[in-house]
Amino acid sequence: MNKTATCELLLFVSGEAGLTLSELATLTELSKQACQQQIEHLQEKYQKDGESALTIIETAGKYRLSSKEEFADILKNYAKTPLNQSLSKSALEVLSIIAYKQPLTRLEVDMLRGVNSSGVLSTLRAYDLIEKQGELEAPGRPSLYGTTEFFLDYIGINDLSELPEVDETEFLAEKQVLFGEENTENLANEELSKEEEERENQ
Amino acid sequence: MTEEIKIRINDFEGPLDLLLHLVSQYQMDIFQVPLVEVIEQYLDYLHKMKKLELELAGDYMVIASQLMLIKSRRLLPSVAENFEEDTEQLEYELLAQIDEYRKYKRLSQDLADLHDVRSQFYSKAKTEIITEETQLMKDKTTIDLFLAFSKVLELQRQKIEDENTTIETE
Repeated sequence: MNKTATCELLLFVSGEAGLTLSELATLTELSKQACQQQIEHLQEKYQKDGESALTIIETAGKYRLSSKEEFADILKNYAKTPLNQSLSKSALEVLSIIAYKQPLTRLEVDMLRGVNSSGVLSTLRAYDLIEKQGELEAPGRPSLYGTTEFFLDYIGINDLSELPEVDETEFLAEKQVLFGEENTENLANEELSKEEEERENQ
Repeated sequence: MTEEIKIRINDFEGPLDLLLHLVSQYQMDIFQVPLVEVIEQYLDYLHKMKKLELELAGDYMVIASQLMLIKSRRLLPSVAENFEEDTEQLEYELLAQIDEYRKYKRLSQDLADLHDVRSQFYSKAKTEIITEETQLMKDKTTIDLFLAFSKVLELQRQKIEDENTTIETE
């Protein structure tokens, strides 16, 4: 029994659920390191083979057998899995607030957005992107929300520490323009044209 | 103040988004935002919608009343010692709220970009393998069944909502 083939087989069967390195190691009876090498070997093999549509990606700490990027357009109409669906603007806003400030309550999300978020929260829960993570020791015992493992997979990272950070320098410059008392005309115009560009690109 | 402000309320994710837009677009001091015009536009829009989105309207009204309070306090002469301080505190809180909101608006775009990259990769569903030796674990309860089905229902509801196209009359 070829070990590379065994790895490929296990990844194929697990599909979108994927397998962690230690699960793979247990099943193939290899060391974790050897497993890692096998996976890299497989990845290389797929990469070289122009006649293969497969690749292996690592998200949320699991390896998953998936199609290569360049086939996305062909599959777009065929597959409508939650992972390949985009969220609405409001759902994204709520999701990012929860991702960065978790665990937090619905009220805290509402305060930050200035609008009621209960509908969006139930959507995100249905998609398994967020979950209840206990209750706050406060009157009314409100639920605390946090992100799930699927959220990591959804945005294609392995760990919350990989979340993108706000570019503070740019952010502060913009802040001075918007809220500062100083009259920074040039900066303002630059920022505005940048914003307009962004809008056009969207 | 006299210039016409053209905005469509339903392009915004609530009052903070709208205020942020006004501040950045029109280079206005936030407390110079022509509230009356904004509120009128908003009520007009609600009227057109033919159905009262009271919850949504309420969110706008809350922020609008905050702004009005600050505006009126600005006009009044100082009556007490800490009157001006209180007013500044009110202003500061609102500005801080908009500032924070701006951060998450930006970050949510970053997350969307990340997801766009991830969504280029498709996988198949897990293959359920059944053998003679497979034993049922009996680790699921009626609650699990209930939650599983309500999740299916919720996802279906989303789907129908997404597919529905509303026709607006200008």
